[in-house]
Amino acid sequence: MSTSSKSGLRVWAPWIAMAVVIVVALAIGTFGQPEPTPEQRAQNLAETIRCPSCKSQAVASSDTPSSQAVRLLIRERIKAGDSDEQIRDYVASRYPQTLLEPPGNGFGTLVWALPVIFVIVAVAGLVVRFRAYRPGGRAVTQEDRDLVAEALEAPVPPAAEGPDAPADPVEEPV
Amino acid sequence: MTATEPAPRRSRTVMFAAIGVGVVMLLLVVLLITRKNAEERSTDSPVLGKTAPALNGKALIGEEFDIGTTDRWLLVNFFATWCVPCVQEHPQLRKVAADGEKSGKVDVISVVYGDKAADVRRFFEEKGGDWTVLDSDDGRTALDWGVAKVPESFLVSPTGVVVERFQGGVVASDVEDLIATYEDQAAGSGGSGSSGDGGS
Repeated sequence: MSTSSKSGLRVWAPWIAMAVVIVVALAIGTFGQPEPTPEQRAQNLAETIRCPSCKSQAVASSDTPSSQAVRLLIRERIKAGDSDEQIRDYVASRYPQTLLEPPGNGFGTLVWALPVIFVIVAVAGLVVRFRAYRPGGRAVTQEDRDLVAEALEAPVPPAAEGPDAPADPVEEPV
Repeated sequence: MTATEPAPRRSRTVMFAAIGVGVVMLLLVVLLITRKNAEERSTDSPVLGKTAPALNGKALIGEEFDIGTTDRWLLVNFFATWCVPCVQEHPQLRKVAADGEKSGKVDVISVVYGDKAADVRRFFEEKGGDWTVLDSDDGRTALDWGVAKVPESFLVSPTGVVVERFQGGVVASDVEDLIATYEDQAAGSGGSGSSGDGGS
């Protein structure tokens, strides 16, 4: 009993350690950041909004009049105490299709959810397959033993001729 | 033989998995095909059918203006002197303004988009036109109206509702025809209002 629980721990310890590292890293990445200054918030927001009159440039790096107006609006709204979501919603209400990050609702949910679903399905598939390959996963039946014995007792086929012909098969210990 | 039995089962699993992935991909393709593309959606103006946003810019030419203070139709034009289609559009705006003054039906008002006041004044001196021109109010007006490219104009009904959007320059006869159509519709529906949109 104690030997099996020890080997179980040995198998699971790396996985547990990896899970702990991932959770801690995600927690630090999510909650450990210092509160951004209003200027940092404005910059971050400007990077998630597309310049309304360009094809694929963020407001943060564009100097068109519409981008300048959006940057000014972001600063004013931050000063007025609006949340990032409120600001993004307002810009999207004026300039549809300018949010570079898809929304977390409606059709946009697919963009966020599908990769996660694929990863989960892929990992689950791998786990199922690897479990099937585990030694001892399938018990040897008497039928299997008979098959092996029959094969070992079968007459040896005549050796092929020529210099590259393999030597007589050597019976390996079972 | 027992050794060959699992093979069809596995190929069936693979087939079902492939069908599942195929169906998901097909659904995605159908979804993407049936949705309007970004270009089409960008022509959906957020102000159409709604009460016109305020015009808060300072008057560079003429007098400051507030929507809803007249009983006329209003053509709100966003322009810049550096924009070639805007320069080409200017004679049409002059015609709308001149005809509107005669008929007493339409006013034109221009809003500067990313341009200098001195350039705008010089432009009007050279090209003519005596309607009110408002400054860009640091781009706020254009943003409130959802304007990203000039020239762009909006027809506002006497009740203050945006009924039409013109992208890439107006044609005077089109504006006049539209106003006539809306007025006919309003008269046909009992003359409850001259906007013809039932909004506001």
